[in-house]
Amino acid sequence: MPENRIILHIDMNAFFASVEQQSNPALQGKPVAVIGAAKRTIITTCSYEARAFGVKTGMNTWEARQKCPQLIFVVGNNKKYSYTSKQIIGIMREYTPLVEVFSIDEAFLDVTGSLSLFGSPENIANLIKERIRERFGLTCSVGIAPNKLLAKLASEMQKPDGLTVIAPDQVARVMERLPIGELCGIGAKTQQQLAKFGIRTCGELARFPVEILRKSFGVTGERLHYMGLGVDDAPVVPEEEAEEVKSVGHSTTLDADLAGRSEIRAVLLQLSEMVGRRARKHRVAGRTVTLTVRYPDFTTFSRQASRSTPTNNSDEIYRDAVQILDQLELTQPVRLLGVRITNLSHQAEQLPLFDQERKKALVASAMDHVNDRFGDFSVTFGTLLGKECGAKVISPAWKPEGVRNVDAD
Amino acid sequence: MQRLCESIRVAAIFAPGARLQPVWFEWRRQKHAVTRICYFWKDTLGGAARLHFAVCDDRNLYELRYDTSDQNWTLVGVEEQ
Repeated sequence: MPENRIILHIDMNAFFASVEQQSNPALQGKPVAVIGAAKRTIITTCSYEARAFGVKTGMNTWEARQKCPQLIFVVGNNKKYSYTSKQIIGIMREYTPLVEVFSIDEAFLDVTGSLSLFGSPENIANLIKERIRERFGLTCSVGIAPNKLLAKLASEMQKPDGLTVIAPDQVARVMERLPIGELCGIGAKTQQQLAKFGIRTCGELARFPVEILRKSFGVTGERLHYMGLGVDDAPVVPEEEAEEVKSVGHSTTLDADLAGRSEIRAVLLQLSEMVGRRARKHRVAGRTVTLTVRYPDFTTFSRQASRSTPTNNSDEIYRDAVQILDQLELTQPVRLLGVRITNLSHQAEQLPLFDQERKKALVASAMDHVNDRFGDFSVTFGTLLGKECGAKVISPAWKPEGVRNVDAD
Repeated sequence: MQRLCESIRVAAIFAPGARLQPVWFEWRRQKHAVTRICYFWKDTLGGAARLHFAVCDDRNLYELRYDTSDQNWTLVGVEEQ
């Protein structure tokens, strides 16, 4: 890895809300909140005009309306956002092949090798900003620094439409008084633990004896020490070099809490089909099936079952999930359900040896062919007929390609 | 936006190298001239690519969708401005 790397972190400003403001000129300059299509919903993101009133991501709609009575709610269009994101990532890849998509609205770029072609990193940042603005009318904040940790920190410093550089000789000065919570990767819990040692700034974290950090946080202790110094060796990993996925899963927050087992089973079937279909598409099969349940009081737990053979057959995943469900005593109605397969094996297309298994695989394959052509759930299980199916939320792990590219409605 | 799903007649320009550009459309026996294409995006339904246009006439905002598989236009939504 080169010693003097130049990393850009590009963060789209209020991405979903800004796309909606561009799509509808009547929303421009107004407080806008993007919400999900579900009946009970929270704010996915909001425009800067709404943020000025104290509206925040994660607030429920009632709370947001209290803060800003004139707030305009727009039901999000995930396909519009994922298309826009893919196009923007395409623009970034014209400046370097080393683009790591961090989420649907954030990416890291290693431009160390691109300077001879495009000039300074500031020039590259400005070119990308200009092209995104020209094509989509959207703004972004860019951070330029010697590593990912500092580049992300820099992009947070000026919003919206910012461009912030942390040069190598400025790192110590920037870090000295910076609150530790400003660093990506230090959450509320770690902050509380560090506060017990009297550590509140990165400067204090860097000076704190690393042995004590190691004792308290294990391997993370050393990483925390380097974070305090502003040191981060993590490379920018483009999608094609990223580690293979370790799980395929879907979860859904239900429109209303469910208590009836038959209703819960219907949701599990839908989730199992989504998991199975995605796993078959990317030729992976899981040896472990996990069921996740969340109650209305947000108590969440998962239970798993291991199989003798890996599967990506929706029916088998469903049966395993139901078996786990049947062993559970549900003490409350259910708010969220999730199904996941892990312990994955990557497999070539191969028909099973036994007749029964072969039939199952052929049916699944025939269904997949029809659904590939006419859309997901065009052919599905009778139990699911008339039900609204499909992913509703863009996962934080969303990627423009591969098994993590979930096409959410 | 009021969601609709009505097949409509659309006049559009297919320019070389450029994206498809709707120019006018007929809806409820009225001709609406597209004064501005506010936003464009693509998605797929199964194997069919669909092009979406958020367009304005001199009064309202509309969402038009062009299905590349059957070459039909659909008015997906309308919002009075």
